[in-house]
Amino acid sequence: MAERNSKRGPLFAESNVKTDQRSLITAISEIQELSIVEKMGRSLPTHMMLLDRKFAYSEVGFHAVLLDGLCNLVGIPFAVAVMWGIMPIFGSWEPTWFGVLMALTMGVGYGLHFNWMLGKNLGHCYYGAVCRRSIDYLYQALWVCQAIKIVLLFIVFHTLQSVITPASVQKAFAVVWPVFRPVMSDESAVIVQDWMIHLREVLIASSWLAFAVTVVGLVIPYYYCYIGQIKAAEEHRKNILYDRY
Amino acid sequence: MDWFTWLNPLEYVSEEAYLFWWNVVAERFLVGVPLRLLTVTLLSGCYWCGAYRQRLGLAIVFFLLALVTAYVHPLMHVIGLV
Repeated sequence: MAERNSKRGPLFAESNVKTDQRSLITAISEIQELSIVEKMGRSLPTHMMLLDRKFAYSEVGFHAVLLDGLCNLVGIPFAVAVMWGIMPIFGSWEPTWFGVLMALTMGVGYGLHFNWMLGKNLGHCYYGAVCRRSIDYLYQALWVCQAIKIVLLFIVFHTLQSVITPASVQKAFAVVWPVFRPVMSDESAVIVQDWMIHLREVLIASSWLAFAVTVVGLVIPYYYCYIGQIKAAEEHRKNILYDRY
Repeated sequence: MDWFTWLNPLEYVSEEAYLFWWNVVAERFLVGVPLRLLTVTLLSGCYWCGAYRQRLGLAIVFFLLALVTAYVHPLMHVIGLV
């Protein structure tokens, strides 16, 4: 008896456990676990969502948009330039279908892929109060961050469009030319200047392409959720009917 | 090893004809393929690290490398990827 008492654990669970940053796989798996419980007919208490989970799910959405923003910022103007024949890809000024596909994938692929993956994995879990709330936290973070991303991209692209003029490019080049002179010929310098001025043409179109792709990306998870909640309700109904859950 | 001779193309065509055919195929389909494969791999690495593992720094590195392999063609010439 005395030996058994000596092996007892602490009275309360350890509270200073460091909560690791959740990866998307962890977040999705947690929500899937909760959805399985709720589909079996057990309603979970809504306050089960602790603060660290709320922040963790929001953080997953924030990180996704951060990388998506970077891809859009660099990739979309390049992709538009490739499609308009202003910029070469894989060394070719007349891109093949593969070149265009790669340019678009680099520009807009990440965001679309992320939203598709979220929708595909979480759509069928959009059922029950706790699961819905968990998914909503993730999506709310996505919405807010995507809105900020679009505003920032519009500001950056439109500002660059007004700043990059032939005169300003020449002026900037005059400043940096002493640094590049040892590694760049005069012809190369002219080509780079031409390219920078041409790139100005794609910036406004790029900002609207970013907006359109972001809207499409945000619609994808909602489509899966709409389909998923209908299927989950049907599954729940069958569970009650046949398995008496 | 007689069974192997039927597989050897040089039994049926001359070496010159065979190499001519091979060079045409290689120039048509294989030039730049390693570079394209590398770009696809880097982009996949970016998606995997960014979306699934939440390792933002590594994902950014993969993305920038993919940009370099796709758009900075002169550098690819220098390092012999094309």
